[in-house]
Amino acid sequence: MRKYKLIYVIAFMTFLGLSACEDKLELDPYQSIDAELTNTSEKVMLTANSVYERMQNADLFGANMNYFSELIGRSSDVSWVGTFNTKREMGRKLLLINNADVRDVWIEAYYTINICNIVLSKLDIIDDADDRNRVEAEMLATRGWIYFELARLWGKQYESAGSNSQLAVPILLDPVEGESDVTYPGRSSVGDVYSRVLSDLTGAETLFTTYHTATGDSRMTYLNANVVKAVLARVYLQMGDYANATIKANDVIQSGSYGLVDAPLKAFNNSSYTPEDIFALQQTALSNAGESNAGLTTHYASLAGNGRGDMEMTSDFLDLFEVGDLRGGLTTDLAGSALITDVSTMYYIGVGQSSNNGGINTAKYGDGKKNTPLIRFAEMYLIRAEGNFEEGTSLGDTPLNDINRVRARSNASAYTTVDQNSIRQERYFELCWEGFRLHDLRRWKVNVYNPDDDTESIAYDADRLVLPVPERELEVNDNLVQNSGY
Amino acid sequence: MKRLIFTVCIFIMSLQLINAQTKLISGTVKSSDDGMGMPGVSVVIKGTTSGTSTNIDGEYTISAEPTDYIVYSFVGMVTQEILVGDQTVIDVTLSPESIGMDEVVVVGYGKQIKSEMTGAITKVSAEKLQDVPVPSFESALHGKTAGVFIEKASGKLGEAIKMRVRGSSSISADNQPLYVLDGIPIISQDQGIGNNSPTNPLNTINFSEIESIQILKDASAAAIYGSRAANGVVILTSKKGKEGKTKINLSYSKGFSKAANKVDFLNAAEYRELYGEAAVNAGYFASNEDAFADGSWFPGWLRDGGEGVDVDWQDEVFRTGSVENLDLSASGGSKNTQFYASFSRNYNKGIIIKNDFTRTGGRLNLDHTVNEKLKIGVSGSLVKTELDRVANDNAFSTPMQMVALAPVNPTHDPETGELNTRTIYYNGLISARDNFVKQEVTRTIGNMYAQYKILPELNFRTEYGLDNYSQLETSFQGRETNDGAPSGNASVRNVRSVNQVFNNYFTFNKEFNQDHTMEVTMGMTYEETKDDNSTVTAIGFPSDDFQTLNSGAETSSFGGVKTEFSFLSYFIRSNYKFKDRYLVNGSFRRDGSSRFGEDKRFGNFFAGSLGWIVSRESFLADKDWLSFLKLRGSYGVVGNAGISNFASRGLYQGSYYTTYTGIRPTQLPNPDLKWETTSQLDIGVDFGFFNNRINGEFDVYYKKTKDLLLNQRLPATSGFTSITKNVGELENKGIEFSINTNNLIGEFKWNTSFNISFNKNEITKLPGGDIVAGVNRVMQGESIGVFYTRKYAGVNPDNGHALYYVEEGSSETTDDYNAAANMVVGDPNPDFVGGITNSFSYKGFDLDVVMAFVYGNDVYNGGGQYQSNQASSWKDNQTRDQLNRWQQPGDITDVPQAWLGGNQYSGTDPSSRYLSDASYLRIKNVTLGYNFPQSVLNTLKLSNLRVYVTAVNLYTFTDYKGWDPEVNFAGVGLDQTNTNVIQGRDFYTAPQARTISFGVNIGL
Repeated sequence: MRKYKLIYVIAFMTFLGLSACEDKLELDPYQSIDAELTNTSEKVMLTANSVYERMQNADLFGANMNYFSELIGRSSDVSWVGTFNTKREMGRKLLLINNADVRDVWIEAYYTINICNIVLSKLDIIDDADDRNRVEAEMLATRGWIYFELARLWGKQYESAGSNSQLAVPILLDPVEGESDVTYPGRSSVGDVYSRVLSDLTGAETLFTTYHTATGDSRMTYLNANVVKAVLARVYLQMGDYANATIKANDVIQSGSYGLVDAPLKAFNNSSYTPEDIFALQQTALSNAGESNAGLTTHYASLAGNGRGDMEMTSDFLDLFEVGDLRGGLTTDLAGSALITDVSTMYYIGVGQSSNNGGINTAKYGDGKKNTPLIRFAEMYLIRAEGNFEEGTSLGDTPLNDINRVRARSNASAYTTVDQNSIRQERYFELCWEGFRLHDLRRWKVNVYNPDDDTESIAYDADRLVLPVPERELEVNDNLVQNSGY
Repeated sequence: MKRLIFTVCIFIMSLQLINAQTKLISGTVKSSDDGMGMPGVSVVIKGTTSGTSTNIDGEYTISAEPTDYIVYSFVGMVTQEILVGDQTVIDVTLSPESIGMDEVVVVGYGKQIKSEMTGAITKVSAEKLQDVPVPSFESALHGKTAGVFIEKASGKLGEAIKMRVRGSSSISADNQPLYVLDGIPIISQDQGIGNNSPTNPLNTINFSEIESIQILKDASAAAIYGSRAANGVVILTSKKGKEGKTKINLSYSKGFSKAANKVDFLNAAEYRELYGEAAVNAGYFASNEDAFADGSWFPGWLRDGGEGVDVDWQDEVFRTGSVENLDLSASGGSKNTQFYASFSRNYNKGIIIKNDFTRTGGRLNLDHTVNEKLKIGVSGSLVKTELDRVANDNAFSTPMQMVALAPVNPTHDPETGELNTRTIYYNGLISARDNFVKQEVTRTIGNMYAQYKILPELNFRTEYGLDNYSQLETSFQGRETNDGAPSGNASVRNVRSVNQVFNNYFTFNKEFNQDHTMEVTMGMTYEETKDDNSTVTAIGFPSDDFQTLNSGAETSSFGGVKTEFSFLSYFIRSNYKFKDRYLVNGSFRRDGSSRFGEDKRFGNFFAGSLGWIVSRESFLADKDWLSFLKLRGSYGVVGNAGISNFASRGLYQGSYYTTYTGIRPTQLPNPDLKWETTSQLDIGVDFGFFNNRINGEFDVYYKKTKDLLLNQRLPATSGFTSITKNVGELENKGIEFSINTNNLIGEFKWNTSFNISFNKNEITKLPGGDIVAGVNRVMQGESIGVFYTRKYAGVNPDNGHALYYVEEGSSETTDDYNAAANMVVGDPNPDFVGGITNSFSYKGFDLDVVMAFVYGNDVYNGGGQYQSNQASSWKDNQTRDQLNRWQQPGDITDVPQAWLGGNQYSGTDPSSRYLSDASYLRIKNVTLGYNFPQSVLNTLKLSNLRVYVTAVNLYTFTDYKGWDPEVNFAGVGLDQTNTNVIQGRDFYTAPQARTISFGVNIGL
């Protein structure tokens, strides 16, 4: 019987012993932390840092902002020759309401806006006053810039003399950290969104001025006062407010922090900041937008291991450039193993293998591991020139001198006079494929090339040049209204 | 003390003997088949209703007078009558009638006799499966199990297999059943790299080591597994040694395989014709001739090999594969110690280039009886698998995508003789030459147990199980390949997943007054799984000769993740049997899991069931035609905890921008998150007629799942697209029927087994709105994953424009895609599935023909917009049916006008144009074997010698237009919701192999 007892005891102990392992159900994740742990000064600042990674994403400035503008605004100078339906719809200028790129840009934009809103609601947790100002400025700048992009993609052109009651996108300013914070907003008007953009950006500008110092500052490569001024210059330009656009562009030029690099291609495919970069997305081998199925290199390049060559330019386009203009040069004899370092002209016949090759591709985005310039100094000259010309002023310098500065760097002959056409033409020559095309045409009220019928162009304010509200979003939020034409 | 009791007992018994002339008879009933004790044999005094039945080891005791006859009867066995006389121990050996015997079925934490079961359990003996040359046991089950839908994702080796027991019971949680091997839950979820299709960890199970497979389908059977039982439980039992002379078995087979189907694509002349026309229509050229001037059209776009080049790229994708299997086993043992040991090697050369699978491993099972109280044992398997993989279906480099290349593109550059690098899309042959992708798994699954008989009726069993899954994935992509350019790319991924399980339980088993039998199982279990994995990719290699990380110049990606979960559970089950024919069964389990919010950490699950063996009633006892009839019903509530490990928490993860690090929110919190609960009602009948020559089962069930764990959609303006909540309900209802008939008995035998299962899945409550996964959707009132898109209405005969129906139920059509409404256009879930197996034998010959069918499901070809777009996208080769394009007003066709580059009327956007009926009937397996007669065996000194030839996927009857109707490419790196919702998709997906194999089994 003693033996039985022993067995009972062992069995019972085993049973009980293992019952005591309820605390083994208390496990924590390793790759994440609980949201409750983020309310410290350090964690709030870390949360703010993440907006840079988001801006770099292909669904924001990393790629799709560019493609929407260049493809929907394209002329016959460039064709989409790839297999991606989402991009082909853009090139066709007939977007479907379930276009995944349209959906993903919307999602990514509001995701990033929510990060800004969360941080802005927790500024008082940040210990250091300088940090607090800097973080607030970064969040306002990011949010304002994104709302600007959303307003011009989803809303019709801002009319400087109009009421601007046409719908743009919902404005969200409060953080969402729990289900009870979720709202179902309607769309605000273009006028209201632009007001928000100006309020955020000018707020950021003021805060940065007190925080940011000058050249040599270690935060030159992050959002700063000059970046905000440059974005403001764009915003005013888009609004047709040439006077303010000129002032902001002139401010940046006068800051003395920047210059033109000595050849146009040198402004691209760099591993570090150049004097021409006002803001560039910094990339490394690890954050290589453009190596997967997203990014600018993916579709613009056609080199060994880089790009599918889907954005193909015509030889007629290259003929627009005068002979010797470095912005129109073409290399036709690259080896199959060629990398961007083997390319010395702005265009080349593609040799990449993953998809299309043999067409004309631009060298602006030749390596997914290199920086992507978002705001180049040359643009500031072009904005100042256009602004001064439209206003009949010569703040900083004359339009002729500014245009010739940009031309000279590319070995293009100097103009003796400039007019509206040559200023606009110069802007295209210099900034093509950098995401300006659609927005420029719409603010100039210039009709857009119709790929289905080249005898009849698309009116600059046509429904089809505005993105549809994503089908997904309409299904979830009854307060949203679709754009006309969809 | 003991001696005293014994003496008293003897005394009392002798008194009884003297008094009533009755005495206690005991004995064992064995089967002549294998000499093993037979459980559940009815032991009755002739002419009375007093009797008993044998226990799990075949033992019985009964009181009888010397003049009594004892009748031993059992379904399918020849009944014996024995006069008691002066015997006190009567051992009986029953021999089979014409067919099978009642079986012991392994259930959770114990086993039961099938005839006395009240739950719905399908048992498949592994014996019949073992000749089938497929790498994974699930595919061998296809067509043999009622209520179970099995679907291979593709014909590529090593990839995941979908198994649905009585439909999908969840939307966002796992829908695969729980797999349990020898009492231990094992790792069965995909552990493969995120950029390729899911792989199947169950590939590591060598099914020649498996004795039986049982699938627990209803709540009564599965509730003992509580929160993990909602999708059914698959219980695998490995082979055990038996007392007696050591038996050695050797099996060897070798065969070859081919793609089961090919699709017709354009040849060079047709390609030129169609693309020339498309280019002319789109205004690129004035005439076809212009387009093809100089034999090189679209300068800069397309490399035309000129006259004489006409490549069927499909021939470059497929090859003749092969299979080779070797199994060697020894089993036997003494009275106290039995063993089973095996070694096996399985080699598969796939039908697609660069796709191979090898499994090598062995098993040792040891059981030892220490004394009459204590039994101990260990079982363990060691396996190594090696899988050579190709890229996922949506990659230019995957072999199947070579079908997109133009037939005018030569495979090799005629000038250099090297592979052509100027094909319209990437030439996948370059990857086949320079790349490798390998997945190697080493896995140890072991368990040990001790079982102690505390009292004759009370047993205690303790088990410890360990599943150590270790996986290494390596790849190299050469500098000349599209993914490896410009300087090569090597990656390594290490996965370690370790699952530990402790089971402790008591089993009480007692018969009271002969009429009442009670079995109670009670215990606890603790399980924990820890996963660790890490990955590194390096680029910049000196040359393709260097393929390991050390030679790389820089890291292009790296990562490491770690996660874990645990379950702590208590359970009890009791089975009560009254008078051999009234059965009552109940079970309860309390489960706790780390996956749920702190307040909802524990859940209770239960089931109850009743059974009535009508045929054992006296009023039916004399009905010769009725061999067996049982009615059973069960109801229970089980759970599904198959969601991500920390779904209830509000989470932030790391982010980086160059070296600037940050954190960002990824998930909204829901502290109330708990398990999904599925309640299931099952009513069934088991029957046998005419000496069981006709027998079968019929089940009707209704399964309702509530508190569905759903990623409820949020407006993205909130910064989040979804939140995981317990909202939503769905139901599955269905009928299962299986019947086995012995059409001919005697020397020429013919058996037929047929099963068919109807399941209807319906989402009954979906408060958060639709869940969208491309063309698949979850919608209230529909089955999970229905196809919801534009409905294609063919082509306008006047202008060749693609047309769509404007709205549901309307015949009005439009050529404006945006103006057409989405509607439900198809369903990936079949209406019914099933199979028919015919087995014939004559003298030494046997022939088995297994057919499987699936009816009523649709498949959407995601590759259709590229393969079948009447040359109206870019330059992909087209399926031959595209030649039927609209050319001039009046043409009646459903293929629009060819227009190079496509326009808005080309009909290439998602619509039902690319959807087709994927019903099929497949001759899944045919095996012809010959067993050599005893005379030959005696001469050769063998106990068994069999030769056979077997064919897998011999032929498929289907209207499906693509390669294979049994297909699902859901995409890569998907979350659980998308894995469940994206069903019935084809995307350049490889067809199944048709395999013919020759084999021999030798028994020493």
